Amino acid sequence: MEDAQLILMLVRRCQAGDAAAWEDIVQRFHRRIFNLCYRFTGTSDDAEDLTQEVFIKMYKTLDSYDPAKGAFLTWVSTMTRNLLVDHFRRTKLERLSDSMDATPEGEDDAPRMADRIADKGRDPYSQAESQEVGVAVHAALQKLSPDLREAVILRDLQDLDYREIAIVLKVPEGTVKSRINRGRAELGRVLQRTYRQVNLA
Amino acid sequence: MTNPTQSGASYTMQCSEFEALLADALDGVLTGERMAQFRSHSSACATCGPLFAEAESGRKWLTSLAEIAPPRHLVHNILLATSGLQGTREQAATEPRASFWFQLKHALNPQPLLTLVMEPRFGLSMAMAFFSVSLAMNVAGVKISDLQKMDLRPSAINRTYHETQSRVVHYYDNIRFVYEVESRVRELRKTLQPSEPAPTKQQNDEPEQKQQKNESDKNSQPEHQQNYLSESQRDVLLAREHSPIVNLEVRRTA
Ligand SMILES: [Zn+2]
Repeated sequence: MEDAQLILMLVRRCQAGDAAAWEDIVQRFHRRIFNLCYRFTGTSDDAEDLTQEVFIKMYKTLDSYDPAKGAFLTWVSTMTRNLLVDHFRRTKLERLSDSMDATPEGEDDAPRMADRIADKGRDPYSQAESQEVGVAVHAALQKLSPDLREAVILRDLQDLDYREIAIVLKVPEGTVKSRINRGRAELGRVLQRTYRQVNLA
Repeated sequence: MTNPTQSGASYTMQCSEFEALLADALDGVLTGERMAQFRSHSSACATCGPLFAEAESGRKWLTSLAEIAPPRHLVHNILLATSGLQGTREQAATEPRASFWFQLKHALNPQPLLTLVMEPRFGLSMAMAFFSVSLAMNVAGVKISDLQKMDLRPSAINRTYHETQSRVVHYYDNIRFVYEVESRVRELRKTLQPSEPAPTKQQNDEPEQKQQKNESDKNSQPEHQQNYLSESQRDVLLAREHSPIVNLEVRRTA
């Protein structure tokens, strides 16, 4: 976690026109924002474009950030999430037409994922750091509905607490928890299927 | 708290309550009596038991995901797209070389160039920048005569700059190269403008200017100057198609 006081000081310097402070902010947050975008969109290219978009927007609107209304990280996460929603809507039509040509979800991907990890050990968790498993989890994440996906990413990958996530998603904390429960369970089921196929193979 | 198992058994938790506590249970913040009640419902309920197992495994999968490293050029691109600067962090280690880089970089990069033109105290002439660039290109294998065939759109120039930069950086490591370039610039100046006093003056001002340039790199705000600057920039770009002497004139009027 970032030191809130230090960040606040950097933001103030930025607002006063200090370019070095801005660079510091970019250095500190680009990795986190890139990962948020990458896990949500699924591709590195989209994540790169969106991360740039986030920082351009942040640069333009930094003056409007008010520390009294919440932590900078929450503000940044909200901005990123809003751009992800825009991106999702923008690409929705493309994806809908794509999916008409494709085979039903799951049927196609699961065996391929299973092939990839077929020669790995019996205890998948111990392999969790291996690239193949990372690929499988990342692919499973893309199968979740965007509501559930963003909730589990913010909680389990970005480490925000429920209160912060509630602010970012603009829903009550109870809804946040329920989405996280469902998202985790859904992901668990998808990966369980994948690994069952591994065991059968 | 005194006897969690017993009190847990005496209370029947509902499925809705179980779901509301699930996130806290997985986070490890649910303890004592409540956790015992939670566990007993989990083992008894045909719906909540599997839900707990799936959510727990899903959480484990997610937290096993490593953070991935963003592309190396991402920060650079973000800074270019926002403050218009290239970042000082990587350059910090190569501070003494910054002045030449500054000239080369800013002569080819639209926004910072504008700052340069607008800032009288720099006194670095466009001609000087042009000489530096053309000499660097020469050393890097680009002939000045090729400039006439070059695509002068900003994006193309940017690309040329990046291509050239990768070749030039190799030479630049050797400080003697810098001196050589500077002496060649002096020679060229003498050859081209034997009676012109201005270049000599620039030469004397140079060390001081380099310092100032580095500072202004951090403080500049190119946005406000865009209109005027793009005009003078276009002049410079056009001038490149002609001889270096034309450049000197452009500089004097700027
Ligand atoms: Zn139940």
